[in-house]
Amino acid sequence: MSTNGSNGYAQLAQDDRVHRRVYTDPAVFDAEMARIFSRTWIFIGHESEVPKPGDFKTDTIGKRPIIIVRGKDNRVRALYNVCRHRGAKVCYENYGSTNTFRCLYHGWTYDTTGKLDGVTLRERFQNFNPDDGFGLLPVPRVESYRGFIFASLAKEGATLKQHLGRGTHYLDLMCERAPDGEIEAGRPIKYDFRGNWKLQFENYSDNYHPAVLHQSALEVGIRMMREKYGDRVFNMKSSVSQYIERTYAAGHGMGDFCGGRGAMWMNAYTNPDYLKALAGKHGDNRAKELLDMDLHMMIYPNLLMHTRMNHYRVIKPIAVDHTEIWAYPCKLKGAPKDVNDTLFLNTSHHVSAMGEVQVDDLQCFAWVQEGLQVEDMEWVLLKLGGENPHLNEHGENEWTGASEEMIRYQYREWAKLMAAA
Amino acid sequence: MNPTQSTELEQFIYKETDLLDDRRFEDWLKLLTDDVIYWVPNYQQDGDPGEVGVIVYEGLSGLRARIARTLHELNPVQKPPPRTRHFLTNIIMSSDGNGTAEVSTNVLLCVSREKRLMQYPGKAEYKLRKVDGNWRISQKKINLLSNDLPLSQLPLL
Repeated sequence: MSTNGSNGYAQLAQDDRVHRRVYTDPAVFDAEMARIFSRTWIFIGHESEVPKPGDFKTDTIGKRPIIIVRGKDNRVRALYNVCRHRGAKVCYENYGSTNTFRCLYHGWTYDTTGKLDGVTLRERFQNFNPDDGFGLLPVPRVESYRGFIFASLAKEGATLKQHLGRGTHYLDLMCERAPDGEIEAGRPIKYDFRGNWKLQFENYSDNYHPAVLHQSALEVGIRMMREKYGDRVFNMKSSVSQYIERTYAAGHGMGDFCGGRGAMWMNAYTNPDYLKALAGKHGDNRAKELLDMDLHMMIYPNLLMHTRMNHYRVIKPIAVDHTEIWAYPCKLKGAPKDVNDTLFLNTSHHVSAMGEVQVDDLQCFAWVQEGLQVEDMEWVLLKLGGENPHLNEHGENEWTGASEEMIRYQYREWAKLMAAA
Repeated sequence: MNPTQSTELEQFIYKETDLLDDRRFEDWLKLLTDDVIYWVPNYQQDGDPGEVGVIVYEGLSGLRARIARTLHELNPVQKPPPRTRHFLTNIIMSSDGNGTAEVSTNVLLCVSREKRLMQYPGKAEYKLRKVDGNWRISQKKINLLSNDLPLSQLPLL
């Protein structure tokens, strides 16, 4: 099979199986970076990270350094972090606040909207007009929804709303438990694994594995978490038989645990002031639904959200066999400090490098990456189907029970993006 | 602080990390006070848990659960178990002469696992208290030098 032509890549992802090379071939990875991560909408940050004019955050899109900055005009922009003179970075801190980005190489300065407003020895520059488009280069397209900032390096294409589709509803759900209707991102808890980026996305879509891979955490967890958290442990309501999966729009999906998980975590929602504020805003019934809400939500290809622990994770592919995950614990704006402190601890203890659950997954990703070095293990199987598949009232594909349907759906999007010239 | 007490505190933390490296976790637990805080800050030195999260912040029951998971036969992260060695240096001690002491030390934790040797430098700060005549740990905080970088799985530090 040739993968030099556009269609070659798409053939690596078939309906219920994918070729090992989608995880192991550096050429496939390079094509993914060009055809997926340099084209479709990529999550890059949250507006709460830059709350005031002049606030900035630096990050990367692939290897490209960027600055996400709230300008003096209060607009949030994503600008490439590169001086237009000789190419040095102009912003060196991870987070901060400034009036000016000043290149420390020759002293060119830019304001917080990216405009070039100072050139050292300007009068001796030849054939040069600083007003002629020499501001910091903008990332081609940047749009936000409920504070979630996405960027696309493609100058044209679907709008963010078209890309998200029903995803706007799920981003709304991330915000609705906040008395003020907004989340505030904390600083990232970073970890990495020796495996392909898709392994994390697929793992988050896979409720087939937890009872096996996380057995030690679950067995110890349920026994010991009760001791650790006392009467503040979430009570386990039911088994995974009440579990719904949905896919929609451009490769996105979600798993609804229907309030059925819980004994792993401390209940963050015991503060009477918080419960009162939420009921006052949404009514008693809706407030209760929101507190029971336990969803895994995925916006393809790089954003994973966890409602119960109130965090999101950003997938950062580094190489075909190396991936970083930056998990951001989030505050519920307007909630009392003890609620947010508990959410931060729950997230930390779930995902960190010394956490209770995610480390198991990272270990397994490395095992998959190593296992797939076996050329004779040509196809990875994705054959577990859901029960009662149907189209729901919102136009989403929906079924019940753990399945590999969401992963198949992701590969349909993957094949579509990879086939485009 | 008199030399005898310095030696005693120094020996105490050497033995404490030795128990971790020798995987004598149950014995390690016995060195902790009932109200112990074990804290590995995230993202920056002494990072505020409510602003930047943590790598770990837990008490005795959480540590007991951690050790139960570590010793569980189906724990993926323990297949195979990591082999570790703590190296301690630049030890600084102070004591109020009233049954409490503070000890800080630079730490280099070396972890060998799955064909790789990982090294995690940092600084550990202990708060110690005499309980029934023996030194016990009431707080252990480990500021990893690389707590703003992506970390893989870490053993008990």
